[in-house]
Formats: sequence, structure tokens, C-alpha cells
Amino acid sequence: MSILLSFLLCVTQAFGTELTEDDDETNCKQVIEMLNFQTTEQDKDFRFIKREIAVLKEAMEKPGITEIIGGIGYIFGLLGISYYWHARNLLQARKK
Amino acid sequence: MHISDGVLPLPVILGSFAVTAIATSWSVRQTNPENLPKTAVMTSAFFVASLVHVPLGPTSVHLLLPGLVGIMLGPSAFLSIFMGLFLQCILFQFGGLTSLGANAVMMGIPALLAGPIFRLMKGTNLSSHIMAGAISGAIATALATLILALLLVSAGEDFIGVGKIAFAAHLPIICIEAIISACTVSFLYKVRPAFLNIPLAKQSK
Repeated sequence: MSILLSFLLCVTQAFGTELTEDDDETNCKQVIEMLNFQTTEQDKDFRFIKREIAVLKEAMEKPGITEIIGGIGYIFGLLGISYYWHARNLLQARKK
Repeated sequence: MHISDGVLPLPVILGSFAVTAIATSWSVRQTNPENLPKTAVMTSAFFVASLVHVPLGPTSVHLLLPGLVGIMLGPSAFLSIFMGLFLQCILFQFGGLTSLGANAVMMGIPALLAGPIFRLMKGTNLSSHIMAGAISGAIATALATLILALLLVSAGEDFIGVGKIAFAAHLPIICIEAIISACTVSFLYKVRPAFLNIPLAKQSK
């Protein structure tokens, strides 16, 4: 997109005035400056995005409330089942 | 303080799994089924305790609670800690599956020892209970640090160096655990003293 824009700029410049070699050089220098400026802006954006990704990765590794509740549920479930079996055996022994 | 995968050599891994299997089956046999709800609560407390981080310079260490688990549960402590560690490994990826045996030995043996130590020092009044709770909490955590240093020695580290670093890093945790154990014991002494009378082994009827 920027290349197209700079090409159009050069072309309109060419049709507008009588071209000399100095004019050509100035226009190309301007175009190169614009491209460099655009690249630095994009670099800043990329660096910002990379930092965000790193922070996100770190946050994903931490255990959340879901895992905690799941683990506590497992513990109470397993021990609850064994407690149930014990109670069942007691009841059956009492019935006899 | 959990050891990750790939640190320990194979003989140590196999040996620690063997010790864990024996200790877990012994612990299961010694468990009185009446104590299962209390075991569930202590296992959950141990499971969640590792999320409490104490910042230490660039890194942080986390709370362990082997002392309190040992005081409250007695012989069932090893089963409780093994279950807690297994679920932490699966759900939180704390420590590896291959080093589960080593982690269980590291935290379960001090917990098993904390019970008898507390029972010996218990005494009859509140202040001796508090002192016993604090000391067994501190000793259990210190023992866990010692076993960690021993395990890392088998991986090829220098014992004195690793021991010093591990102990220095966990010194705040040892103090915090002593305080937590003492506070819990004092609360239970006032509210439900029956919870503190754990037999050392299952009485056969």
C-alpha cells in the first residue's frame, strides 16, 4: 500500500512539473523517509504486541480458580466415596 | 519446593516411588475411616497451600504445611500428602509425574514425623500445646528442606551449597509455618480438643 502511494506520488510529481535530476532525488529521499518512519511505527506496535503475548502466556500458566475447585472436588469425592463404603459396611454389620 | 521432571536420576526416581508405595499402603491401612472427613479437609488445605507465595528477591517460595497435616492426621498424613501432590501435579503442573515419588517422600516423611513429635511434646496446658505445634511445624518444614537438598545431591549438586541455599530460602517459610501451626493448635485446643488426640497407630479392636 505504501509502495503504491509512493509510486503515485512520484508519478504525479512527474506529470505536474518539469523534472530535473535534483527533483527526482528529493522525491525519492522523501519517499524513503516516509517508508522508514512507517517501519519504526510498525516496529513499536509489534514490540507492544509481543510484550502483551508474553504477559498473557505467564498469566495462562498460573492455576486459576477452576483448577482449585476441581482439585478440592476430587479430594472430597474420592474420600467421600471411601467414607460411604465404610458407612455401608457398618450399616450392614449392624443389621445382622 | 516441588522437584520437576528431568532433574533426578532414574535409580532415585524408582527408589522414591517404591518408598512412596510402601508408605502409602501403610498409611491407608492405618487410616481410621472415622477420620476421613478431617483427612479431606487437611488434604484440601495442603493442596491449596502451595498457591500462597512468599516473595524472596527475584523468585518466591511457597507455603508447604507438612507439619500441620502431620499434627492433625497422624499416620494418615502420608496418604493425604500423596493425594494432594498427585492432584497438584495433574491440575497445576506443580512438579512432574516422574518426580511424584520424590516429592511425596520429601513432604510425606516430615509430616509422618511431625505427628509423634507433637504428641511427645504436647503436655496438658495451652502454652505447651502451642509450643509443641510451633516446634513440630518448624521441624517438619526444615526436614523437608533437608530431604530436598539430599535429593538434589543425587542429581549431582554439591550438598553444602544446595543445603545452605535451600535452607536460607525457606527460612521465612519455616517461621510462617511455625506460627500457622501454633495458631491452629491453639484454636483447636479451645474449640475442639478431641481433634488433637490422634493415635500413633490404629488400635486393633
